[in-house]
Formats: sequence, structure tokens, C-alpha cells
Amino acid sequence: MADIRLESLRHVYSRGTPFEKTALDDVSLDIPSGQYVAILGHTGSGKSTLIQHLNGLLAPTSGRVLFDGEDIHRSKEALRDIRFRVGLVFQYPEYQLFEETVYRDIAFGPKNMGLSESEIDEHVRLGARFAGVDESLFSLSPLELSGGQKRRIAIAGVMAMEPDVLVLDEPIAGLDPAGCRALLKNIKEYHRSTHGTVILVTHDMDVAASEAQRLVVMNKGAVALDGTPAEIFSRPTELRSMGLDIPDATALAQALRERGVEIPESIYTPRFLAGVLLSRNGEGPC
Amino acid sequence: MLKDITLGQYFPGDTPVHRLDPRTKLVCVILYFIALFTANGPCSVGLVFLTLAFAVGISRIRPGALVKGMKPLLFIVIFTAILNLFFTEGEVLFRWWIFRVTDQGVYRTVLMVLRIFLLVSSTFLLTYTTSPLQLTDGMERLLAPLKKVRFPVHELSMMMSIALRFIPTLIEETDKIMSAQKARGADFDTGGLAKRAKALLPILVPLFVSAFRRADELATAMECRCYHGGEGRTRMKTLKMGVGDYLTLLLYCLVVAGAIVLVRLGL
Repeated sequence: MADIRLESLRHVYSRGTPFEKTALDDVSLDIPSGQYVAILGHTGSGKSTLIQHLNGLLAPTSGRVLFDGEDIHRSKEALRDIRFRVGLVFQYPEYQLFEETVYRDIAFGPKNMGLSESEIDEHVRLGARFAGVDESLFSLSPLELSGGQKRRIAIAGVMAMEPDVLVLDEPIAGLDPAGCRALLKNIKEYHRSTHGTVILVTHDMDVAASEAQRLVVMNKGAVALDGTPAEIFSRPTELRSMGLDIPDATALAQALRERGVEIPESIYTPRFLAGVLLSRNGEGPC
Repeated sequence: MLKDITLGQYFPGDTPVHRLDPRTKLVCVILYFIALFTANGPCSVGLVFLTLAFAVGISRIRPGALVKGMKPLLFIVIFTAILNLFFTEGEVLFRWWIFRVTDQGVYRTVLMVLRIFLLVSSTFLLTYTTSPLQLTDGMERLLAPLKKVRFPVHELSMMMSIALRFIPTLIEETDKIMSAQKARGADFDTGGLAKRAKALLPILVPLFVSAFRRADELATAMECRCYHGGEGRTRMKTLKMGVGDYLTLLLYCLVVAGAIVLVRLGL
């Protein structure tokens, strides 16, 4: 069990100074165990602030964060425990690597959990496998590797804690297309085999459409839309007004519809669109 | 959070104090120091106190922000206070165990604590109301005569503005790295000194790596824009002294003179 519940969460930065800024305003959200959720929103919509509440790095100004029905801020021990159960991968995580070898960097989390040597070893190998880090890299210095490899190592470091909930903030930003695809595949594989919750923060609509079961759209520090990809992407005007867009496949389907091709509304992945077009098999005004 | 520390932070605003030429403000702070250290009687200290209170009032900086800035100096303040309170000769007010408090002691304590407070607050007022860029600009102009003796004024001020520019960036970066390591269960708050020092390693290594990377990138970016030192370089915003600046300078000169006169009169 790893149900997350946010109750009217509010967060104000630099309270009582001229720089005061409300980043989250009355956010209530339920994320049941095992869901693959994508959090969307343009820059400054409060996504990053929101996810830092999930493992208690930020304390809410008002409101509560519940994990399995219990407030995560009830005690220091509970808070520390939550950090291991909710694994958070920050944006550009490659900049936080510090150990002499890849192996030791991945082992940092498990070591902090207070596991035995053999358990740590097990966790490190598991994390590395899920993140697609080859064991031949283990003895190298993480600082010598390429950007994409560093990113994987950092993600492996979080996956190695075997969290019930994996939260990733823009994990594919700045990766090349191949690295991007591979990483998303790794994350999906992790979701499938651990049955854990995955929360993916992104502003890439195509990624959200093809990966997640549920989309949460943030705007101005509040949840603007919440639903399945089909529900969300059937509201292009609203998305555009929030500085977002619809996936390429949806836009293409819409353009085809306007030109008289009969295509259903809820299309949001290229694969699905291709399927629909093929099944039409030459009929219509093509 | 690290972000909330106030040391040397700039609070944007549009008050007469904010609008003053940075050179004026720098010179005024120096003049203020002179007045502050000359003052040693109730009247003269009162004068310098009122001067700062007046300036703070115009600047609309909350006095709370100035008091908050004193926090890191609390130890020095307490240390000075104790030293002055118990070890000054004079008429004994009361004794307790090996301690004795004299009238002179109480007087000197109040004076010293007030002095430290005014000293720190006046510099804070400067940095609160002057952006770092203006400040280094003003310094470069004030030190310009030193160029005659081949003192690298421009290089120094450029280094300083870059350093100042990067303080918030590095603080933000430290915050981010700390959060990331905390997310992996790093513990910075418990354990002995050795353990805590060791716990800093996961922060310091990435911080240094990124600081060097940033320095490198900045150097490239500056070269790309043909930066080649201070010679022949013009400014987008040239500093200009206005009537207000001269009046302010005059006012501060009067404060210094006033303090000297008051001290001479033994007030």
C-alpha cells in the first residue's frame, strides 16, 4: 500500500518578505497505489513545489500530506522513513553525483537506509538494472561519464532504494531521442514489475500521452484538470490557454477531421492514430 | 531554508534612498562610521541613532529585517556585552558572587551594543537599498584614481560583481543539492561534529563541480561577447550625481561635525 493524499495544500515561499510568492494554492489530490500519473504544467505552475511535498522536503504552509492515511510530518522518524518510500528524482539529477565510483554513488541511498552490505549490493544491482546502468560502469568515476549516463546513474541511485512511489521531475529534459526513449521504457518497466506508483513531471504532451494512465494539469499553483489522457486531450483550447498543447497525434487527427476524414475524437498516440487510419482501409475522400 | 538568510540581500524599491547614487551611499556609510566611532556620549550617540532611524524610515525597509540580519552576530554582541558589563571600573551598583556590575559598565555595555547594532544596520541599509551591480559600479568609480598607480580597479570590481552575482545562484544550487541528497536519506542535522562534517561531502563535491562548470561557461560567454577588460568600456547606465546626492552628502557631513562638536562639549 502506498496511497498518497494531499489535503488542501498551500505553500508560500519567502513568507513575510517582499519576495513572498504563493506557489501552491489549495491543492487536493488523491494518488492511489500503483498508478502511473503525469503532472503537466508550464514553467512556474507549481509542479516542482508540489512534488517536493510528496516526500516532505517542503512542509506545507497549510494543509496536509497523507501517506497511507497518516500525516508524513507527524514525527522526524516518519519523515525520514517517507524519504525512502517516496523516491524523488530531481530535475537534472546528474549534478548531484558526488562519490568516487558509480557503485558507491548508487549505494548512497540504500546505505542511508541502514541495510547490510549484502542487501546494499542487491539494491544497487537492482537499481542499476532498472535504470539501464551497465555493471561494467560500476568502478568508474561518475564525473567522467556522458550526460545521459550520469542521468541514469542518478536515477538508479533513487530506484536502488526500492521506493513504493517513484517521482521524476522532467527526467527526459535535455536527453537525445534515443536516450529519451530508453529511459521512458526503463521507467515503464519499473512500473510494471514493481507495481509501484510512478509520478512523472513533464511538459511534453506526447510523453504524457503515451506513458501515463492519468494526467494532472497544474496551472497557477492549482490543479486545473485531472483525468485520463483521452479526457484531458479532448480540451485543446483550455490546454492552450494554460500555455500547454495537445500531442502531435491529436493535432494531426484534428486536422484530418477538419478536412472531412472521419476519425474519433479521443486520439492521443501515433500508434492509435495509425491503427484508426489503417482500419479505414481506403474509404473516404483520401 | 538557506534562501531566507538576509546577509547582503537587496530589497528592490523606489524610495529616495534607493534612488541615491551608489557613490553617495558608499561615502555616506563611511561618514556615518566616522560619526559613529566619534560618538561616545548620550547626545552624540543619540544623534547617530536618529540619523540611521531617519534613513531607515525613508527607505521603507522594515526595522525587523535589520534586526534579523543581526542574528549571525549574536555571539559577538553577547560576548562584548558581558566583557563590558563585568570588567569595567566604576561605582559598584551591585555584587553577586565574583561578579560586580558598575555604573560605567552598564553605560559602556549599552553604548557598545548600540554601536555594533548601528554599525551593522547601516551597512545592511546600504546593501538592502543598492543592487550589487550598482554597488560595484559605485566602488569602481570611487576607486578610479587608484588606476594611476596601476591598481587593477576594473578587474577587481568585475570580479566582485561576478562573485556577488553568483551568491544567490550558488545558494539556490546548494539548496537543490541538499534536497536531492536528503531525498536519498542524507542526514545533515544529527550526529557529532565529525559525522556532520562528513555529511557535507555529498553537498560540497557537486557544488564545486558545478561552480567550476559555471565559471567556465561564464568565461566563454564573456569572450563570445568580446570582453577584453575595462579599457574603452562604456556603460549602459552612467552614474550621475543629482541635487539629492549633494544634499545627502552635506547632511552626513553635518552629522559628523555635529558628533564631533557634541563629543567636544562632553555630551
